[in-house]
Amino acid sequence: MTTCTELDERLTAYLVGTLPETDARDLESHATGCAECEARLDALPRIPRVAQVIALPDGLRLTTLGAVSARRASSRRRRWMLTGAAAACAAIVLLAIQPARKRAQDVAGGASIRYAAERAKPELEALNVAAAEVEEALRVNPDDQALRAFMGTIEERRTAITRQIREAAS
Amino acid sequence: MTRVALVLLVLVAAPLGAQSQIRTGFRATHDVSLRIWVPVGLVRVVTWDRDSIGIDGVTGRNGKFFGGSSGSAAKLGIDARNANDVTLPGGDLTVSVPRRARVWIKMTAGHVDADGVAGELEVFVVGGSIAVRNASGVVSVESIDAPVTIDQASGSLRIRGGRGSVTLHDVDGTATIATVSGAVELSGARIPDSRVETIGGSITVDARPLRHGALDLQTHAGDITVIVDGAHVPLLDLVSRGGRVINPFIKAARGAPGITARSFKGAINVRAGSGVKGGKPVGSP
Repeated sequence: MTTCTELDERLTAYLVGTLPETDARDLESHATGCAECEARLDALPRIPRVAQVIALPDGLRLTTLGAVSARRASSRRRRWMLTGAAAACAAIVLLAIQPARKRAQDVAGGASIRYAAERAKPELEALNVAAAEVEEALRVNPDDQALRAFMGTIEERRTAITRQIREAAS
Repeated sequence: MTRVALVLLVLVAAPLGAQSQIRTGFRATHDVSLRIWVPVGLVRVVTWDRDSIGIDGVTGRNGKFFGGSSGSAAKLGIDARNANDVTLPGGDLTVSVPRRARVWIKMTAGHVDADGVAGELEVFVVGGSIAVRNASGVVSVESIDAPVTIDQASGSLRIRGGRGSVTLHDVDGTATIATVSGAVELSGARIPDSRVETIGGSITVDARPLRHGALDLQTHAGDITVIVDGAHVPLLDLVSRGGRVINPFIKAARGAPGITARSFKGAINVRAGSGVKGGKPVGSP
């Protein structure tokens, strides 16, 4: 026995003719005995009723619905397969291109670093010599602020050049 | 079959050696932030009164141009075409930018020539050369052994170098310069307030145009030479721990600018510029 709530839930299926025959009859018999539901059914557009009027025999309808459902499933499967294939192709392309690009950048980056290190070598050696001289002087005058300032300059240049070598790749 | 193989060979081999012409452009705001990355070659930056970026040039061996802009930010440069080719990708580009653009250039071994940038200019070059003219605003340069020349500029300059020399001619504003063995020379009709530090490089300053402000010069082993106007001798504070200090001027002019020079073991030599009365030349730079 259909209730008002069940009628609400089944109404769309009833209108488009997909509600099983027994359930459809049950819904109609409820509407006949319920003024509110009958008024609702009467107020609905006529077109859905047509579907009911030309309702197919149960067997044929089930076959048709089954075919539609199968076609939808197939369409969904095809869509998923196409999406999957597209994703796979994109992944293959990315996998092929990205490492090549990365490798190219790595090669260029490595060469840049080697070049920078080679160019900086004499400068780093000069800084080491200067640092050793100032350290020697600091051993004699450990509190000499001017010497500390010289040492600070040397350290700053050493840090800057080391950073420049590292950043030559980026 | 032979024909197909030939076409494939041409397709594979052509990009490796061939130069490709580049002529393109992007829309940009008047203060666009532009990053340029060309590992090897030449980058010229010129300015124009348009809100766009124009690129004209060629790619070198193993080079492939890339670039794009969102309007307020843009980047362009040369990438490696072939990952298996160890040749650094290169190119020769002339990039036209809005005058107020903020331009960042990075090269491994290359020459940068920038003219008229009034926004910001940042240049990083390992080896090669850097020349900047008619710049105003902020100029920042870092190099390991590229000589740096800055001519006719005003604003704030920051130069960090290694072996390459640094030459400032007719520059106004403020400058901080540091090198390892690169020589530094400041000259021209204008001298910026400067702090100059070198380890082994010499420092030469023609301070005759200096009417105010200050120069702070420091070397480890490099010699310092200061040329002054004998009629307006600056306040001089000169100390070398292990080098000779030559200063023929005892009295400074009233309200004169100050020059501080410190050296660990380099010589410091102050002399009057030729044609300037009031000082007698001592030695030569």
